[in-house]
Amino acid sequence: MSAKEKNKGSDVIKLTKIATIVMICVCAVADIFGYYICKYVWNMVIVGWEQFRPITNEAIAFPTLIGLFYIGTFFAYVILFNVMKLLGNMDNNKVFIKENTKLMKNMSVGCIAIFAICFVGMLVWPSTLFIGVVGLFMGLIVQCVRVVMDKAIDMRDELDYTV
Amino acid sequence: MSIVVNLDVMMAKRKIAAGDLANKVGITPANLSILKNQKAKAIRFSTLNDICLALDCQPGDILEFVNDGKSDEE
Repeated sequence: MSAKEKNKGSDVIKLTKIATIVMICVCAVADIFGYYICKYVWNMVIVGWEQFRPITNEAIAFPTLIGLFYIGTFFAYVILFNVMKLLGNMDNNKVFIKENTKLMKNMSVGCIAIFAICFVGMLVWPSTLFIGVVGLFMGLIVQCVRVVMDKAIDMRDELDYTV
Repeated sequence: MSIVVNLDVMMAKRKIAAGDLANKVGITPANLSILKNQKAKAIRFSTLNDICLALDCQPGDILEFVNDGKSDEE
């Protein structure tokens, strides 16, 4: 493998790494100011939705929102750290290894968990479903890529172990 | 996999070292050790031909089928 081939896409990986680090920072800030963000969302958008939400009691609905917010950020960390590890592996030219498929599986599980959280969030604010559907589709796409990668690894193994 | 490679037995019979055989056959010692350690998933006819030529034997002397009732996928 020539040096040019080895460095293929390294700038893309670097940019994605920077974006991931920024997202981790955003998540950390969101965790620190979680209460205020929830309060803001509550006052700006949710207050007008009383007739659409199953939980009408504010004393239950607001803590539920905060709880779901923090569980959601936990899964966001799971996804982001897995992306970080995956990018690290790709940077070290270890693309087609079994560990990467495991990382992608974790990522898709995180995406689908966020969908589940947003589904529960419909109790408080029905519009969360739209965010959840994005998560669900992301999870499915990552899962598809994982299956393709798994097949590619099997094919490479077959080729490597042909004498 | 129920195909067993008995290359080491044949090599002992012919009293040839792994490095010498790899040189004669024209494959790397790493690939020869993959073949010897039953890790190989496939063998090219050209490689088999060269091994048989180098060891002066039949493919059946090197490869053996052991029926354990399993297919490759299991």
